[in-house]
Amino acid sequence: MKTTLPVAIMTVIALIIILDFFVADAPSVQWIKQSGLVLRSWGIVISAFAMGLGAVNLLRRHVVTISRRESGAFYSVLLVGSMLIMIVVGIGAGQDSPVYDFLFSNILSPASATMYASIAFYIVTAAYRSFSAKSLESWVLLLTAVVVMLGKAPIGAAISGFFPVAADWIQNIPNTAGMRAIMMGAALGVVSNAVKMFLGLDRTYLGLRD
Amino acid sequence: MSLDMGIWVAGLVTLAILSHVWKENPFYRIAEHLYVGISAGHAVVMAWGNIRDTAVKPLAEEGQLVWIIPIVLGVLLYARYFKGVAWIARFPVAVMVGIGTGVAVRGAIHGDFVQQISATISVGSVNDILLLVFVIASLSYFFFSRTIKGPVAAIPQLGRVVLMVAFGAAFGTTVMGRMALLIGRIQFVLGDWLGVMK
Repeated sequence: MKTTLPVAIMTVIALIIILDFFVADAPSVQWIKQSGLVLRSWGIVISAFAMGLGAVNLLRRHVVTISRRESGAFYSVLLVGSMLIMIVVGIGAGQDSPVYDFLFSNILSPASATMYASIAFYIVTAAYRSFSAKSLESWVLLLTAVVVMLGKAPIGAAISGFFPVAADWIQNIPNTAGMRAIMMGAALGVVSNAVKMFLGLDRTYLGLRD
Repeated sequence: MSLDMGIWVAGLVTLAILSHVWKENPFYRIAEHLYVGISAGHAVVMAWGNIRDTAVKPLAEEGQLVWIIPIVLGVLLYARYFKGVAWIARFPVAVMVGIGTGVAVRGAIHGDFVQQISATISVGSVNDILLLVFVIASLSYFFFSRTIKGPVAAIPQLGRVVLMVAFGAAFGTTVMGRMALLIGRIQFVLGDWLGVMK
């Protein structure tokens, strides 16, 4: 019951949602359509509770650091404090309140953009270390990256009109083809993994190893 | 130079995070922990908004009792904190994974497979023919059931080159996207905050 029933529930729910998409719009199968719709809206609610679970885990981890006065306790205080302020203000006064808006607009938004921006340095240094043009394929990868970067920057168009045109063509034809092939392969992987889960061969989502 | 406190905070946070490019330092760690705390708090507020609007309001205002089920399932997720009954949390997890798997499989079959094939075989120009050839070549590269020998071996080799072009394009696009963000942050610091650039 502790293992088989959850697997059965998971399989039935997944099959209803899959069937909901593929069955015809006939009155005899309306219950599948309705069930699929209801289950998907349940998913929004349960996922929201799961988000709370993540927040509780984060709080527990940092409250332990603070209570034991471990190194980095000061940073944990900042994390817990800012998190609690956001939660209390966001739920109590709403997302339109000035405090919530201040924290969102002046810390969360710029920090998020800067975090992503700083990745640019690491991508470039990683590429410098790993890109060794020793074979045809690595040359192709390197040249394509250079052409696409020049094609997307104003300096590329200033050097030659070839770069924007070539970058567009690369994006639309070979890039689409390669990504499409990867997408199709991944789709087959998703389906085969789902079948494994339906048969109870993959139960890792229940915290079981085998 | 700006006199707005919000711009000062945003500027200091930006500099603190960028300082990590040089090396790990206390300013970066302060910004990092504030970022994680505020992100997590924002996520909880959004999650509460979803629960309130999707389940609590229809239950409380319209008496739709069916919403008790997902609320109870959501609460059961927290059973994992109580040793004797931790296994009960498997039920809401099973429901969530079932919904996720169902949505993923239908998206994979329809969007990532059928529609992609349909778009690939609708040939109307030279570029469409090239696209079809490149897709077939790329797919043949993933064919591992038997070793492809002879003249046809050129097809997976072409596929390999096409995949390298795709990876190169993805790399170039990612770098340029990040660069655009970086330029935006530099413009903010030098323009909006310090006022040394217009």
